[in-house]
Amino acid sequence: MNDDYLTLKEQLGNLFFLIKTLFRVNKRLFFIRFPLIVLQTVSSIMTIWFMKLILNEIAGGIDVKYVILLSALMAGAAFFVNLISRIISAFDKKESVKTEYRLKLILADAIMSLPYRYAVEPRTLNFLEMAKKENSFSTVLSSVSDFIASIITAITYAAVIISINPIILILIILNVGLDGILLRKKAKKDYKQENEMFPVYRKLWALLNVLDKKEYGKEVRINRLKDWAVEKGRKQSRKALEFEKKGTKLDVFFAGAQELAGNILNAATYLILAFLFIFRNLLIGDFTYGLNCMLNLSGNIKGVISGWNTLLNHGLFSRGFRYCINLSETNKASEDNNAKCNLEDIKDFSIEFRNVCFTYPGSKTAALKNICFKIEDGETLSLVGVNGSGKTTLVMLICRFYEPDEGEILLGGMPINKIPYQTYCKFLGVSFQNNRFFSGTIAENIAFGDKFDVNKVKECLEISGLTEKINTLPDGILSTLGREFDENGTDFSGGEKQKLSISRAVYSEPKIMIFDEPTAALDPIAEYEIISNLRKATEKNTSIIISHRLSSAKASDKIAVLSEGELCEFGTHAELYEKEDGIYRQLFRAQSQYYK
Amino acid sequence: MTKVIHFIKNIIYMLSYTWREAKNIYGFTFLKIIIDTASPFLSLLFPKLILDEMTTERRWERVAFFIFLMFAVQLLISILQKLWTYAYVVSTTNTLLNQNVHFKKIYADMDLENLEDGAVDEKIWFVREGFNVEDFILNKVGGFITAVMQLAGYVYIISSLHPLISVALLSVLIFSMLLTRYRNKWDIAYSKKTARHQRLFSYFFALMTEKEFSQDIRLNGASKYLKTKYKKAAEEYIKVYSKNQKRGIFLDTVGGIIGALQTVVTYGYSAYMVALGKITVGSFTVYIGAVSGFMSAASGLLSNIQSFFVSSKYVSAYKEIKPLSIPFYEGGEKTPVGDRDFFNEIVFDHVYFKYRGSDTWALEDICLTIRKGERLSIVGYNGAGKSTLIKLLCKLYCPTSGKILLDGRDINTIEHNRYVDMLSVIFQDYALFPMSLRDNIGLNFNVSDEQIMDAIEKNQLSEKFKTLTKGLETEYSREFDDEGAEFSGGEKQKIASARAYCKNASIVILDEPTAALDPLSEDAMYRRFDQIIGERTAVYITHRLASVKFCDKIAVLEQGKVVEYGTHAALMGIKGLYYEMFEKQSEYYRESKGE
Repeated sequence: MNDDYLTLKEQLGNLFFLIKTLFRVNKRLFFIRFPLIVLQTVSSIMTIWFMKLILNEIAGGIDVKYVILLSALMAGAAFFVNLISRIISAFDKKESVKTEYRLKLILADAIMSLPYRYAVEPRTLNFLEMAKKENSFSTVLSSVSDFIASIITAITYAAVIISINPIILILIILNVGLDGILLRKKAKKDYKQENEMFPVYRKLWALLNVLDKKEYGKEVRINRLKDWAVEKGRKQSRKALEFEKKGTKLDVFFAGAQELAGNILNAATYLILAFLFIFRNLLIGDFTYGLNCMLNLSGNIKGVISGWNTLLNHGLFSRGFRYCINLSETNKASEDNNAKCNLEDIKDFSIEFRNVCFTYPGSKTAALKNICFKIEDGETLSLVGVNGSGKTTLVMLICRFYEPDEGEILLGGMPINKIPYQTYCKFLGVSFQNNRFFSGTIAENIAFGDKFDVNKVKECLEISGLTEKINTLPDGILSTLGREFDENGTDFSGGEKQKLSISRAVYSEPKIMIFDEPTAALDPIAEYEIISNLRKATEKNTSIIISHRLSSAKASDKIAVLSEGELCEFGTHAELYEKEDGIYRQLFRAQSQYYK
Repeated sequence: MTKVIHFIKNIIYMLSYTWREAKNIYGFTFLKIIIDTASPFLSLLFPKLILDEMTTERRWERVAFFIFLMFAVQLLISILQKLWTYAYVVSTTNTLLNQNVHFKKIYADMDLENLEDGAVDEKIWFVREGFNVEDFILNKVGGFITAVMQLAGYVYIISSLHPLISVALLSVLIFSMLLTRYRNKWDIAYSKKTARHQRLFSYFFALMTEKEFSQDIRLNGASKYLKTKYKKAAEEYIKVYSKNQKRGIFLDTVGGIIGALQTVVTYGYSAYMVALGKITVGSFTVYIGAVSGFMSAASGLLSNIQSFFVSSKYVSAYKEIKPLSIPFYEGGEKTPVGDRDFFNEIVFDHVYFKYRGSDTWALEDICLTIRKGERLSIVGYNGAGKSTLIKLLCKLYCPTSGKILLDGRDINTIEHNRYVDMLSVIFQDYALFPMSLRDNIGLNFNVSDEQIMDAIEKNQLSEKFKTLTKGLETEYSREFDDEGAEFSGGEKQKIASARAYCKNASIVILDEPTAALDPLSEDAMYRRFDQIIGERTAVYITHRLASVKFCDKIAVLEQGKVVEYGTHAALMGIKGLYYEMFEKQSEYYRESKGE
């Protein structure tokens, strides 16, 4: 990831983008904040102002009753301001939580609507990681309102100090200027440090995750990997320690410099005020008032600056958020432009590849070279070939996860990139080798929706041979899959998951069905059942099956044999088997020889 | 009374735990306490000296002197604090990492059944939030001592004004303490309630943004549905959250009123004393400062004490989960296994097994013998119990009843490590690690690079290996290294089998190892089985009945029971379940053989 420090303009841009989004997502939050700002300003000045009155009264002629009255007013005012702030804060916190989840929703939506190739690109993944790292998006709003409040307060204090002695104000401004320079420098170094540290820490956590993630559980126990994994983690953490040390040195140095400047300012103010008191008849109450204002103002202005830097930091890290959102919008726009077609022009559901060439981004070798073939509407195609020959890639192109570099793919005569993507996906039903399921009911995992047709779901389960298994579950199709959130959830075995993915693929009654290794993990009888069920289900539909089980190839209308990205053989089982030194024949015999 | 004892026990537990784990943090905390206690008093002292000099003698030189002294002391404290910070980070980064690792080790040690249980995960998640060594020592213990010492100092100062004021302040303190204890109860219940909701909507957020799910989401148009699920979970969370907020306000109000009253009294009385000439103006500011210092130290102490109650709850929860890290086979005298290759047979002796929370038997009355050097194949429908049987053999689960015997000895009573060292396993859902290829194949087996290269060759990875520019150092995935490699499904499986090959254990267990291999690779694999397994014992789960012919014996499982057992020829003769499966699978191949 190329991470140069962003320019101020870019940082501000990111920040405004985030704030704009916040406003769009929750206006109420902004309106709650405003009174909070006012209260914050009032409360900080109020107390020391009362103090001044009291001290002057004490140093002058004391009217104890008046002092008590002043104290009462001071206490009462502080109490009420505090109470009202507390109440408003409670609303504010609730709105903040709401805002945060809505922002995350926007991010998730943007990611989900990205074209596949962008969603899995390392660049996007890195920015997404950045955006996810920003734990509380809504603290931006706090930062903004705190920033505004502190500016208003600072101005008030400054006014007081000028009235006592303007030199103090100049000293304060110098101090603040120095602070600003220090902070800017530090932020730059922090950012650089952070980026270098990032991958080191990610790897550290990935290594330590070996210890507690479910998927590693069996390996860790059978091979006694605990200590080994911990050792790997420690080695990695030693690398991380170097960064920690560097970072701390940086922090400490800058903090020390800032404090030194602050202490000098403090001493200087004392000297000036003491001088004014001894030689220029400044009142004692005004002495302490001036002192307090100076202390508060310095703190305040430092707050303003660090608030500013916090805002800019939000800008730096919300870069990830903005990138993802913008990427998604640009793609939506361009898709709407490209994908316009008259759906009636799609004559049928035949699939044709015309001179298709494709190389994965960042790869040097072509994954597909000049692929040409056509399957007619309703035909079944078997894709065959050794591992890595391009079968899955071909399917990926049909799913439009990627686009061919050359050539085109046609559906019923219509180039598929002209069809709006969501419509196109409705034509497809795909079952991959490693479908992902989630913690929901079985019906939800098939239909991907709360509203589903119970009969259809049951039919799909019938096709994949899961009916018996479902009947053993007390809640039937409403049983929860997985035990993450439901103790009574069921775990499905590898084979059962495969069947479930087939059910999912056929549920939407797609016009084109694609099965990538549908029976790899199944026992012979299940395999037999499913292949014949699939044949029935795909009888009228165009379908593509990738399978190492050549028994299914035999029953297909056409067979395509791929080797190193090229289409070597294409035809029916009988035609291909005749080729004495053909690849297909070789593969078929390799598998059939054991079944005597 | 028992509650108090329980609380004290928990705090003592935490103290000894943190002392064991992080002595260095205690050292640093001690230093911090000194600095933190001294500095507020110094900042009260100097203004008093300066003000007093100004309001009495009005000597400019003395005033300037005090100002410079104040500056010097502030500088000194600042430097000390910076040095402390740096030394702290250098010294404790490791300590803190250890703490994280400590919890992860609990996961790594516990039974597989617990690892897979969401309820257990939730419990541990809860504990991790609050069982924090650094926070306990620095903030809780350190904060406690600092606050107490500061309070003592302030009480001393304030009492010189009038002893009753200290008493009044102390009673305000106690009253607030009771208030916050009440509030504390709610906070704990709240965080337990929200843990689940947070997990849920984090889960869906992760699902929507994870790479692995992106294909499914697009193909099934699932984004709308997932967003709905996410929204629902988040809304539940917010409901609970806002309920808790409202409660806090009432309690704060009561506390605020008391505080206001006390301010009035202090100011009034101090002004009165100045009027009587009993104290100087400088002292006035000290007393005011001391009272406000007292109140903030007091409220700090209150929340500090409250946090100890919270800690106690977390300690209790921690004590609950600690026993989870003890696997089922731990405990009792363990007999040694002997030489790794030395065993004659493993017997399943009327083994029954049920998964946690399940009503049906996954395995029923399994009686099976695996003889040394024998190749046993286990076949059956999906869900028949084949993988479960293997997992029991691997001591990943414990039989509900019945025993598994190694040469007559229950495997739960023999040295666990030596037992699992006897097993080389490739599971259906094997896992590869975010490490180099060398590490993924060689794991912790202490094998040389030559042995790894041999494993690569024997498992048909040589071709792929030639394309790797970094050779054995190649990272398994591209996530952390742009030059990492991507491996296809089949290649991954070959890495897993190279791993099993390297372990060189006396029993090889294969759970459907060739599912993702193309016919040619599969064929080559069968041909090598003789080589790979050699003289060793093998247990082999598969659906590819053709490969079963390489095995000596076949066991057929149906609904958790062994229904047929024997050689291929014998079972074909029975014309039972095995016969049916074999016929079905070979149907297509045999027809065409005639062409």
